[in-house]
Amino acid sequence: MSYMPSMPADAVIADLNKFDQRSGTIAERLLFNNRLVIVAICLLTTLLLGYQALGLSLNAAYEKMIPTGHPYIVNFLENRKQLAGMGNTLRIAVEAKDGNIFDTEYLDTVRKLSDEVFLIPGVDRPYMKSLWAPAVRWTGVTEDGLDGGPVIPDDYDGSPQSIEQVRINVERSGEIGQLVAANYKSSIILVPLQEKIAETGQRIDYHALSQRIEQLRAKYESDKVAIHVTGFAKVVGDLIDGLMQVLVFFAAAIAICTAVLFWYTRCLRSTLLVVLCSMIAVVWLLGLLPTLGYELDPYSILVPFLVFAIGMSHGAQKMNGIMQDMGRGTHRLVAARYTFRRLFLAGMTALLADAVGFAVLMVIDIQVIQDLAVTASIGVAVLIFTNLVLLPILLSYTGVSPVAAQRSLKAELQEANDVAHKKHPFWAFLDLFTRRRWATIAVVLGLVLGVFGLTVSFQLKIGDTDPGAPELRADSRYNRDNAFMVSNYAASSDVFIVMVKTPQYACAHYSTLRAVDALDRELQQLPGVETTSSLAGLAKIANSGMNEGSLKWFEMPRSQEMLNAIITRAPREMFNQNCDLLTVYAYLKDHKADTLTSVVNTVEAFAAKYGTDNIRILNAAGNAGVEAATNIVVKKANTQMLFLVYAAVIALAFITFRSWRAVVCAVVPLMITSVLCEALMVWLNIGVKVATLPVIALGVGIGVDYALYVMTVTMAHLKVGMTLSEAYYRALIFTGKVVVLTGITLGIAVATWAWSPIKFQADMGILLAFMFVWNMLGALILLPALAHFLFRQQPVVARG
Amino acid sequence: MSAHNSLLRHPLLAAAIIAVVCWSGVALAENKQSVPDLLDLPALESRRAQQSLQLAVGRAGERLVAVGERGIVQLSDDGGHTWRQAKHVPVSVALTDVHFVSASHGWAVGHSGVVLHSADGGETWLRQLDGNQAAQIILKDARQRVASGGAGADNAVRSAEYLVKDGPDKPFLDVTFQSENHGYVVGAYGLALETRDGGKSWQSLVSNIPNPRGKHLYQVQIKDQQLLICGEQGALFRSMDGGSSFVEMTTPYSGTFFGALNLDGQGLLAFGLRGNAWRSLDDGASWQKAEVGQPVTLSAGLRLHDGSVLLADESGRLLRSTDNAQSFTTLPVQPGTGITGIVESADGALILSSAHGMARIEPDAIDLGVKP
Repeated sequence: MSYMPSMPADAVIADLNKFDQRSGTIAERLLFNNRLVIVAICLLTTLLLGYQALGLSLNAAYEKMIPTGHPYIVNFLENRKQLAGMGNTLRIAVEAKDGNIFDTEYLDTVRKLSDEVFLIPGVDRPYMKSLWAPAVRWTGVTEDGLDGGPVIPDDYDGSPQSIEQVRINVERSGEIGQLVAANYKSSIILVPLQEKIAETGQRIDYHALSQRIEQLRAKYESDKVAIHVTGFAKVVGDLIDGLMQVLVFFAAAIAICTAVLFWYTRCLRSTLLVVLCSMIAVVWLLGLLPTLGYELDPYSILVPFLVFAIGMSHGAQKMNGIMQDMGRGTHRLVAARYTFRRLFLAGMTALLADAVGFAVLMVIDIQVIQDLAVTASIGVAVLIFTNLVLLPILLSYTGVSPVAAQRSLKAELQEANDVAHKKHPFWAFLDLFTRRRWATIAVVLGLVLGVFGLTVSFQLKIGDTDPGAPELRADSRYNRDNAFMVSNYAASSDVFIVMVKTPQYACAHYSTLRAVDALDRELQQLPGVETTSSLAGLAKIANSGMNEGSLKWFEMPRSQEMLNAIITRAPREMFNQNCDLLTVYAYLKDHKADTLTSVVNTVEAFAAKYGTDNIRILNAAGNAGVEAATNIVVKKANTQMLFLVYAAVIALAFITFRSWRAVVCAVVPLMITSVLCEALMVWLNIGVKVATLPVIALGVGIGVDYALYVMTVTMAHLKVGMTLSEAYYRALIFTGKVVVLTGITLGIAVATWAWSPIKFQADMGILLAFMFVWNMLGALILLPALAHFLFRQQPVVARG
Repeated sequence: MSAHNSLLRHPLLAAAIIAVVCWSGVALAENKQSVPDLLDLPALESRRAQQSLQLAVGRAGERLVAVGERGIVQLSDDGGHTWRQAKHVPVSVALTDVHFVSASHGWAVGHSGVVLHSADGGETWLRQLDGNQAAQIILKDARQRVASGGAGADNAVRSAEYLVKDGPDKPFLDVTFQSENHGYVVGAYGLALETRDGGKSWQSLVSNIPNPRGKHLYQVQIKDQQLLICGEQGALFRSMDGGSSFVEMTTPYSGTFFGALNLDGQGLLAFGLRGNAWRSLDDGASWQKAEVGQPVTLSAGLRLHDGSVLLADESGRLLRSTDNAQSFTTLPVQPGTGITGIVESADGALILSSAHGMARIEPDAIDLGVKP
């Protein structure tokens, strides 16, 4: 909507004294009659917000990335204090490269490392485990009953005898596959984390934590010892590291966009001004975020790119307008005012349309997405000031290069007079799509693509499909570490936790444990579940242990005294202090959506069948449980969001055009692009996840701009009685260049993310670039073709 | 328009899912129930049966029958190469032992005082006894003895009353049958019963065994009229009259014997906790310790068809003696940890039940082990 349907031919005023300063709207007079004040205010604001921006922090809190409103997560959060921090645990594997863990030097390294880790703020120390932790014990059977002690004996002195004792203790500790690899070549330091640092009440700074871990890694890794670290906190730490590299892409995006703009205008000073204003918008945004209490996270970091690119395209339009007026000979200040008059409202509407796309994201009950929506809205709001107000004012001082202005005017005149479409093969080519033959081809092709995309998109997966941390690339250090963990330790990295609530002190009742055992059995039947562990399973092991290790006793004792005796020795991750909460762990093969769904459904069905007030079976904690809930929310949100974004876009298009035919022409190409985008996701093996949710909303929200630009002008010309071909050609001359320019700048800005070390940013970049470019093509090709069929029989006659 | 479908399919799907969920939610809510007792819950056809804990293995003719956790019974008709689950087992308790007297008739025992019978080679099973019934039988027997004025019968009644009160919380640990009619079961806290009608009715042997502290009885062996029961704290009880009376033999070890084997002549081998294997060649008058190398619990033993003696320990070692249990050699096989039972298949292979399922050891691997 950068060009209003009928542009009033403003008088050419070369002499500023002949210009009526009192003309124009109040806003225009207020702004342009106090130009210096405005510039000063903007300068001051920029300095102030620039200073504020220094305080901007990068973070990604666990709770922000999960759907806190989903019942499963509510269950999890209600009970998380009792769950021994299972949602957020670091695992540090110390690997003996040659030899094995039964080595003085190795054990010493583990001790020093775990001592240092113990001191890191935010570590949930009572639950920390390693070979050296007193809570890690062995038990053995003697003629007199049970015997036990810490795995590393109190009198350990590093002598060969001590080492041999450690080996024996490890063998009977039951930690093989848990804390100690079955090949005895590595052991784990298990580090549960608090959500808030207990001493200070502050949230954990994952980046600092990750850096601290990296320091420790550098300190203790040697040719004898390798260190592998996995866990959510490390993922986030690595993500934030990856974000630092995003700055490089930002620089690249600026450089490329500037080059494109300069190629388009051939005017250095105004190009630089547009870049400057877009940069100012980014600075304001970055300054406003900490001021309003927001942080940048791996998702919202992408907003500055978008804001910059949108700023560039709007700036280009302002510049274009001023250039044309100046080319006609108008004074630069008057030209700026004319442009402001013509374009302020249109630009604002376009920006508001973008904001609609962002605002739709607010319905998703995941805070990072909501933050993204807020951040993007702030960014767009800022653009209204910087690129719709400040830019024209600055241009009114600098003007544009006279050569560029002449060139612009010449081109415009040429194009406008060239009704025979001879000189501009590209526009002439696009115009072909208003004719029957090409229109048919385009519509049929669109239809074929749509059907094809739709067919493929049925295979669209929900959630993550790759092993390890899908946020990071498969060959990243983190995912290599994760592969090490998975291959060396029995417990998989995908843990699904079912919570079983009972009345106080009833957690070890036989009836409770019977239910848990039955649930265990059903979960074990699922192909996606590798193994389970629960107090019921533990009771069987313990029963066997209390009977001299005889496996014939591997059954849950019915005797309550026996169960009570067992629970006093049971590890605390199985039940809570009050004995009213049991945790059932299911270790999964992977975190594919099907696997998670099978577990969720099994638990739900079991709860529906056997759950009572005394035994409440609740989904879900553990990383897999949280992911299952996230998948459910994401799946629902994806549908919801498609509806809302299209409802909004259709409403907006209808308000603008007042014609359902025009709405169809504008929206159908967007829909085909959306469907193709889903097909692309299938092809690239990208599942619907938190990171891809914003893509379609942003793609459609920004993408509709193109159609609005083109359709508005076309409709205006149709109304004055032109044929569709003429009207569309006029629209192309007025807006075609800007549409192409916008598509290219936006596409380039987001395409640079494809090189991000963060997998989902690369995914978003590819998908958004695809959407921006295809939406542009849709607006230029499919829109006229559809218009050919919808408007052909009923040429709109000018009313009044 | 094709693109409209992309919008429509989601809500339609969602509506269908919601409908199904609501419907099944309603249906399930109506069926609210408590988790069935393991005694009433038929064993599940388990996806993990092959990897599940198996506690004993026996032979029904050519067929191999293994029993284990969660009422899982597995059958093999190809000498232990492949296993399938039995068609019907009426309980889900852990089954601890199995014994067949023919290709068709066999018994399995387990937790909750369960005795199961199969008349079709282990395909289907019927419950003959549970812990509640067993306790009642033992109480009835104790009361009869009071009536007939037996010594110490009052104490027996008192402990039998506790048995009844405790409910079915004690496992049977071993079963042995002499014929299709006559057999014995023993178990935790001194449980011991006899049947002479194929399990239709059971008689208590508890009062016949001098086991006042109710030590666990891990195994019962029959040789003609001679019964040998071993158990906790070095317990070894012998009856020369088919179970009417038992004497406690003096043993040199105070830890648990998990099993005993008859050797040539009057020889006996009792084995158990922490690598203890004791041999007596003079009917228990004197004992020698057999050297097995490591202090790891010996959990299963078998006399092979050639007369050699095999022992297995919890760490997964297999030991063989060809000199009437005087000395043992470790076999060069690694069947996995937690061996719980051994039987010879029809083709001479060793079939092991273990914590990780079943294993087959080829006959030539065994011969290899004893070559010098």
